[in-house]
Amino acid sequence: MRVETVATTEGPVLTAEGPATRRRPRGSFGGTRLVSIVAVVLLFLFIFGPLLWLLVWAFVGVWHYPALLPQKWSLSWWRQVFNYPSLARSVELSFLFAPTVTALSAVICLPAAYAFARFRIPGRRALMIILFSVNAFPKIGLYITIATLFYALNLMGTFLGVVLIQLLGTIVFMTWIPTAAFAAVPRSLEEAARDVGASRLRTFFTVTLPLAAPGIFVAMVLAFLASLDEAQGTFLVGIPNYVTMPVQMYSLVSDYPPEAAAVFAVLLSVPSVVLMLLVRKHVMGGSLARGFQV
Amino acid sequence: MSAQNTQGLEISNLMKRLGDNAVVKGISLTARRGELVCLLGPSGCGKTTTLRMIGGFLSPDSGSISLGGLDITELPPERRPTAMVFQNYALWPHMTVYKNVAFGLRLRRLPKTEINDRVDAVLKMVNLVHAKDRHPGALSGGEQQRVALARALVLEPQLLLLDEPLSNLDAKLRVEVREEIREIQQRLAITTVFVTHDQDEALSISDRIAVMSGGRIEQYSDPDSLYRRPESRFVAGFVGSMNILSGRIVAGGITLGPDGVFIPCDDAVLANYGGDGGEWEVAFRLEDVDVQSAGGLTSLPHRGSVARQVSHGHFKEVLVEVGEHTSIRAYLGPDVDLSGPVVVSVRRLLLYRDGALCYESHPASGRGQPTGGESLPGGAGLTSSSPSGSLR
Ligand SMILES: Nc1ncnc2c1ncn2[C@@H]1O[C@H](COP(=O)(O)OP(=O)(O)OP(=O)(O)O)[C@@H](O)[C@H]1O
Ligand SMILES: [Mg+2]
Repeated sequence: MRVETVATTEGPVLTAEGPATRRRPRGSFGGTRLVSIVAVVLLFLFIFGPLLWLLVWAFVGVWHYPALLPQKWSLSWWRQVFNYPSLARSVELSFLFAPTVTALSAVICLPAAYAFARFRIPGRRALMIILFSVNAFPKIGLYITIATLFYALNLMGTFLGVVLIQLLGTIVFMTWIPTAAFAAVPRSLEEAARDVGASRLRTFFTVTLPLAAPGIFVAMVLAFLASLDEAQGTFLVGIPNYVTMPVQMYSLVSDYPPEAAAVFAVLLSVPSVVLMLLVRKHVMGGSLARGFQV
Repeated sequence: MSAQNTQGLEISNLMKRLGDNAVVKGISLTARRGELVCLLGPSGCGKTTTLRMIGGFLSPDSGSISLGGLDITELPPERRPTAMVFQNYALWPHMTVYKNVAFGLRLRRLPKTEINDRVDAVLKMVNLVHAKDRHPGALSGGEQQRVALARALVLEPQLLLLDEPLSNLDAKLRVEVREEIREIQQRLAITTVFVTHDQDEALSISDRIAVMSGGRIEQYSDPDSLYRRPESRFVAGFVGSMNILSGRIVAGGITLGPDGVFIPCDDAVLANYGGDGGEWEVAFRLEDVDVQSAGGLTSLPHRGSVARQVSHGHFKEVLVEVGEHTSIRAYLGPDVDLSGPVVVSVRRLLLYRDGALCYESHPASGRGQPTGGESLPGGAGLTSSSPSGSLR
């Protein structure tokens, strides 16, 4: 009500200046909004469309061209995939590598992240940029260089070799995100703990770590997922002894019709969805956002 | 042991460089047991740096700190019997009020019931029992401040350190909380170092005040003498309102400013002391200025007119132009007639040369005396910074 009154009293003044000036901002505002809504919808379709497509394909019994949805639904492809001889082994391997890589990555990167955040390290900036560049260039080149090194060290086709190659992809965010999380803990909170009698170690575990935990948690989830989804390096180093789920995907795609691949793809994305829901539930929006401020 | 316990804080010749700055340039200070000492000074003068060295968060380049007779200079903060209230309170956001306060006691491995009792007692003391299970994020600024205080007090520290603990509170709360702090500090007789840049705060709660400037202590004395007898030109300008003008001493008074305006001062000794013809920095409090209606005395040379006045209710602050380039500020009672020309005289003044206090006049006896002897009696004794002088 009040807004309207104000508008009418201002009306004459504005008409004196010309109504066009008044209308244009509103029109363009509406336009921007429309554009952004369309953009969001397109983005949504772009991301979730293929997933939805996959989900439908995974349950197809009969589906002929003009129909929008399958004529017959079926679980037969699921049965096929579950009976696929090396499937169980690949799932098992994936869930062996992912926690191992995550834990190892945490052990290596978290102390480094703490040091980056709290101490003046010479060349800190250069180190961070080198870390970043690992992910910035096409990985396959890097992997092939590493593979030659692994041959020399007899690491090809070994568990350790696969862990190391997967570690490579996790190190960047496992360092950057926790660095930001540690740096965001005010020093005065640590000093206050020292002041009431806590040792350095006690201070770290009672104050610093709990406050940086959301960021660390996010980084660990990302590392877990990265390991779970890593195919290139694992394929190169692990074959034929260590075939994880995403590597298995390659042979499935060539050996079976798309329906089976769809089933496998759905299976592969289950952990991601579960973990992402977990992140949403346990990490408040603020801390999640903070995790990405480097 | 008991002889040691009567000793409080003793700091000698503390120095600290940070980066390229010599931030603290030799600070010595003692606080008796149970005394509240303020570090007062403009921003950047090294107050926080000094306090952090006392708390153990910075190690001094040289000098020593001892507490209760024990040298603590080399101890890490967790082994010092000090407790600090940080400027931004530094409460742990992931712990409840109870846990914040209890943490220090739990580190000392006290039995659970004793921890409970002591936390309850201290929360009661700061009026926060109701907020016991809340997180700091759900508290107002004043409540957070009191949690920080409780967290420090519960440890029964030998020395309480406060870094501008009231700066985040609004004006009214600031006055309330500082009185609470003073009351608790006196009741528990805790030796306290309180950092502030607010002189009202310092004057109203301190036993002694150390005025700092540029990493040094300019003056260390009780609030009354600090106010009445600033020992340096810097302190004279920094603490309270003061007229400071260059001037010369003549028979019966002073001539001030570029105009050489004569202002009478009823101090018989003044001319003998300062009448060397040289220039002084003449300082006098606003409440030590008399302003009267000139009436018929039109021939007097120090006739002036009131250029501006600001009412503070029970008194007013006026600016009197006594010469073309010379004006004097004064506190006056509310009923003084200021419409016509006025005459100005000064009851009590201080003389500075090269930044140091050289002479103070004592209007009560009509005599003043040169400074420099330690045996000098204290100033005429205003008990606070309020300008009650103008009401006499
Ligand atoms: N790490 C540092 N490196 C270089 N100079 C510093 C550093 N920390 C503080 N300083 C300088 O030391 C001086 C004193 O700082 P300090 O914090 O002790 O001042 P303060 O008296 O507490 O001032 P305020 O009232 O503003 O808190 C300042 O001029 C500041 O710029
Ligand atoms: Mg400070």
